[in-house]
Amino acid sequence: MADITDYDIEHFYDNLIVREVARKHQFRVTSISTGFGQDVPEGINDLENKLLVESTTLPSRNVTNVPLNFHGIKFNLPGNAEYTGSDAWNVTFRLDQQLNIRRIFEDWTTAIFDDRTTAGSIVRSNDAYLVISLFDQMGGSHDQYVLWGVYPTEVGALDYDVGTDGDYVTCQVTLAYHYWSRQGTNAFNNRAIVVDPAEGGGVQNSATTFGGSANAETGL
Amino acid sequence: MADYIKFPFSYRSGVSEGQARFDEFERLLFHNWNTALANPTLWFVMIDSIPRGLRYMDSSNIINKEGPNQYDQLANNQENIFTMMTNRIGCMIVHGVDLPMIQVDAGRAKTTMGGYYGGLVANEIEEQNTLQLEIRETQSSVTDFLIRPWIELVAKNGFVARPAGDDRYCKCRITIVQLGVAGPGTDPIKRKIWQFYDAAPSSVANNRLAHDGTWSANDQFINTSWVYSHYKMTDVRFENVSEVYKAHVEYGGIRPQTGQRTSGRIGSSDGPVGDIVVV
Repeated sequence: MADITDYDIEHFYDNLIVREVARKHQFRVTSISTGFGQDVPEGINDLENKLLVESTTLPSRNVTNVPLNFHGIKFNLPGNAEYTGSDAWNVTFRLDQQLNIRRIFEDWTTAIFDDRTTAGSIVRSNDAYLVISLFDQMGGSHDQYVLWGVYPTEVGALDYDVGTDGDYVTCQVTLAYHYWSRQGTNAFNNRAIVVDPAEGGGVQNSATTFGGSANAETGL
Repeated sequence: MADYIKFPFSYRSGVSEGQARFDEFERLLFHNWNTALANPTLWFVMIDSIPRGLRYMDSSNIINKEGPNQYDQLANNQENIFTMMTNRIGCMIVHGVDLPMIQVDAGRAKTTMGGYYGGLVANEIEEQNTLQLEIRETQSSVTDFLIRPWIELVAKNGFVARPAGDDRYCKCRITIVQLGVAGPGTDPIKRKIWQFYDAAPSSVANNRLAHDGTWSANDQFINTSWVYSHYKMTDVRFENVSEVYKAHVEYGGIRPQTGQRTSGRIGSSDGPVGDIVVV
């Protein structure tokens, strides 16, 4: 039986001290891999570019609802899983003055399909992924969300205006992915990423349970 | 007796008939595995073999020798297709299946007496419909390099009973497995298995190519028809699924082993309360 005193202000503060609250700035995009290898497009995973990420969303997952009627009552049954918004996940970049990050995404879309030459790739393997790392107050990474099979669907328009007071320019990039998975504290996942090519690179299948510590470079 | 006719049985028993009906609906649809609603997207197809006569799709193949159509495919590409089609965990390029209908020609007799309806009569069973497989058009085309020559092989060799090792044998067995979920962390259960015997393709649908517009995956699904001699259906082979399922529904604390879980974070509650084991 629930006791109201368990929910008093003292317990509330104790709980906050132990568990803290998530802050909106405690995220970074820590790894981007196009699946095309290191050079296409060049620099996509460079720290200088990942530092320019301004905002994004942690993607959602939902289970479709299947209504089942009986005597007019609508019972709700679980259907299949969906990764809502997996066809249009947005991330906003602050643009460096020479638009390096935008050019990289433009090159990435061209690598996927070049209308002038009909060159391109339809392969969306798990070597294409993006990692969002979440951090706690101590700077430790507690969760990594991996978007698998990622590719850009839109490199957004830029707003220029001579009447502004030095506002910086941002660029929204829309990406699509197959699905996401979570790695981190107490999380189980059967795919592990080894980003460093010297360690094998790409995706490895395993039944590893990841700990809470993060690699400084990859966030994994 | 008169009361019994006028009122539901709860009038005397004290048990609400409406409540009993409601509870029974919930029990059957939500707590009993065998009568719970099935998920129509959980299925896969297996094709047991590809006719030997389709191997070596070069000038040595009998279809190419006799013509008039010619199929020219590298051995490695063919091996890719054959392996994929006969994969024991399922043929991944089949996007959709239309299972055949069955019906008997039955109705009222035309003979009437004194203006009354004729009596009910049943004639023969209607010929079973064909099996339809919707196949995904892939870079190395299954419909054009496997199904089309297969249809020609059927036309040349027919369905005369021959041993499976005969080069003129052109039949296969198609198995369609329908799955049902049994609980978190548990593999789905094969709830129904169709086996179509002596199956062979009989048609490939038209496929239009055009330069206009964008395209979607639906544009790349090509329908194929398959004939067969008969089918066998197998029900679920587990007898205790309902108990496992019911326990899962009624005692939500039952969870998969820690190593199988995808959620959970806070300390001592991480251990599984109980195991879900399907034997």
